[in-house]
Amino acid sequence: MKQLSTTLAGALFAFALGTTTDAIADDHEIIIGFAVAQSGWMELYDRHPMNGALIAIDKINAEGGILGRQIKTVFADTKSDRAEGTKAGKKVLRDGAQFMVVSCDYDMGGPAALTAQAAGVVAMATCASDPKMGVQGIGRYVFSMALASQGEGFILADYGHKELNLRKPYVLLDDSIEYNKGVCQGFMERWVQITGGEKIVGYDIFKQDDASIASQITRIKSNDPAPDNLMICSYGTGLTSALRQIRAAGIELPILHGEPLDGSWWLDAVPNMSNLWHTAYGSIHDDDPDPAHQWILEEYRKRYGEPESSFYIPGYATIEAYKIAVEKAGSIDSDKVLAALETFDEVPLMIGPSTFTPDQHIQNKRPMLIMEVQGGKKIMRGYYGTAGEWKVESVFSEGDFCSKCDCCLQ
Amino acid sequence: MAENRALALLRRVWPVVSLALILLVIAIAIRLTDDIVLEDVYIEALAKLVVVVGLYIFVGNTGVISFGHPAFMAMGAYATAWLTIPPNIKRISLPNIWPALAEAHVAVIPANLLAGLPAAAFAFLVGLGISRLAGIAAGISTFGLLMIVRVVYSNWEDWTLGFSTIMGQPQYLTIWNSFGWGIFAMVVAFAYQESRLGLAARASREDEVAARATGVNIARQRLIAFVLSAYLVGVGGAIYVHFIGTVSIETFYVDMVVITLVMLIVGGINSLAGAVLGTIAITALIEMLRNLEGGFEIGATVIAAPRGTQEIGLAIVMLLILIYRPKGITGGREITWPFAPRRR
Repeated sequence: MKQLSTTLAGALFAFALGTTTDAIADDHEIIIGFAVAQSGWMELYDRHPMNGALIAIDKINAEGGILGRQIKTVFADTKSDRAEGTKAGKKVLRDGAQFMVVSCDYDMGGPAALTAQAAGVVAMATCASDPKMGVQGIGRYVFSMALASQGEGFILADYGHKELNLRKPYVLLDDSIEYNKGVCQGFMERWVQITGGEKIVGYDIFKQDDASIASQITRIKSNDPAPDNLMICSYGTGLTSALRQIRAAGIELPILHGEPLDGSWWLDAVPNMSNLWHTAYGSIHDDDPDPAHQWILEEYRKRYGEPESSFYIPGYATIEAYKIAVEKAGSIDSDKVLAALETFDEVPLMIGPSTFTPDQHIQNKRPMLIMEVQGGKKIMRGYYGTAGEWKVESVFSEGDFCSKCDCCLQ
Repeated sequence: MAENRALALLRRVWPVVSLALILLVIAIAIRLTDDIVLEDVYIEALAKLVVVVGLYIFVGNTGVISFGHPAFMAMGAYATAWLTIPPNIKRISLPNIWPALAEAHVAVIPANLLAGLPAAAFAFLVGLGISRLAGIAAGISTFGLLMIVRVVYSNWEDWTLGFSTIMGQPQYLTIWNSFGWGIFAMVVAFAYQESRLGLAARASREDEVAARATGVNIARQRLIAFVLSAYLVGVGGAIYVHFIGTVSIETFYVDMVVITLVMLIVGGINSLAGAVLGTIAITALIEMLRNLEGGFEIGATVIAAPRGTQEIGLAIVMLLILIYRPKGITGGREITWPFAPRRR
């Protein structure tokens, strides 16, 4: 019994220790809360957007703040875990956050965004490109600074068809995460549009942790008609492994891919990669045609060292968007800021022209930078936008991905 | 006489009443601080408590370790999502689910109680085999079970969205109704362990040969404990996702196996008090380490422990407990009536 009571006292004491005093903003401050991953696998994807946002905050504070208020920041680590995400959201709210920045992913950022939605605080994901990160998926207080993954598929379809003269795409989808599905779905939807009804010549799926994609490679090689390019939708090590296996199997077809290939982290893993084109927010190789992007790259290097991707750009733009919305609303009241954000019509942010409407809290047609890879080197091909316009309703209508993709398959 | 009977009854149920009082005191203390983060910590802890108590029903009473119970959590979690997400959201997010389920909109409490049933049914089927195993073979087979459930659920796109997240189940938990769920779990576990069935299971744990000699059918007792345990863990999984607000198969894998087992082992595998106090102790420890990671101010300087301290600290505590107190902090005993000489 004695030992039991000691344990109990200890536990109660620990709970008491956990309590901290609330910090509530005064009239000279705005508190922005970061409920993002600062440890775990997601940290890799959240670090650059967070640092980009912090660069923006320091710049705004140096220039006099927003409506004369200085921005103060509070942080909570989601530890790349969903339950911790819920608590991280609550923690920054408790610490007085009037605007919440959440993880660069719908699955990981969702729980924190839900707490913001429930509290009536505007939340913005730095680069979650699943359109569910928004009014339809979570609620009206939730936004994403990203281009919807389907929109990225549109860009790649346009670029492949018009600039690279590709005609027979074979789609290879890693269906482990929603982002991948969205990019391939957008690509196929747009392909039918630009070719006037022509369909892709083949379609296959693999999973992020598949050790081998030999059977998929066999099917690519034996596909009739033979494809003239591969559209791959994947990320991370599953992607580099797939690329290596495809090239090792002697398939030298041009490859199109989305922004997970941004940066140079993977070039050593797939030596001498050639014939690949991918999208990116900006270039970290000192050749970005946008002077603002060059400026933030240098700023980033000064503060945090060499970046591994250009994801600091959506982070910076998130804070920029919030500043413009608050100034437009003339208030930091969440409902007024929300209304101001929903009037955004091609507002020029560092990330590009951005539009929000009451039904669409994510971008559908913003241009992205195209990078070409030849001989293991990146070549900047300039910003490229799609002539088409992807509609957010297409995701939130009835019917699922497979039925939509079957209609695209020859 | 009536008074004596009431007292006797109280003494009989004191192990569970005392635990309830402890949870109540903590709940009141947290309400008084009015801290929404601590409230969340409590709610999450109580959801996990339901799971750990469920796990205890099997592991504690039969002495067979299980690494697979998060599989039942996952089954409960998805079941409650299918039942409680409003039909208009389901039409978008789960368009290919059975029409009957697509239109279902069950209130949260009955839905959570129902959510344990698929887990219990599944546990019955696989338990027919697993209950015949003992020792490490049983442990490994339960882990295999977890992997099977994970692979099936992550590929069952129409019903689970694969590896993606399902949102839309109501986040209805408060500090009080999560307390209620904790009581529910403890009462189920206590009623079972005090019943004839529970005693038979415990007998098989202590000495298989002697139990068999007194007429205990060990496989049957293990099966009963397994099914009841799976049911409660399924309900716990359902409650847990009402706390997070999202369902994803990723939540129910090795991390969850580790944390729930650590809670049970640190508390003491062989008693309900162990399951409950272990959950409280580990939650408190995690929060403390988490606050250290977040940093605290001494004067003008902020001192913060490096990221990852929480995980390492947890592992160290687990090791220390295993070395110095292998039966857990409660030593496998219940909290007994404190106002009378103890029978030993």
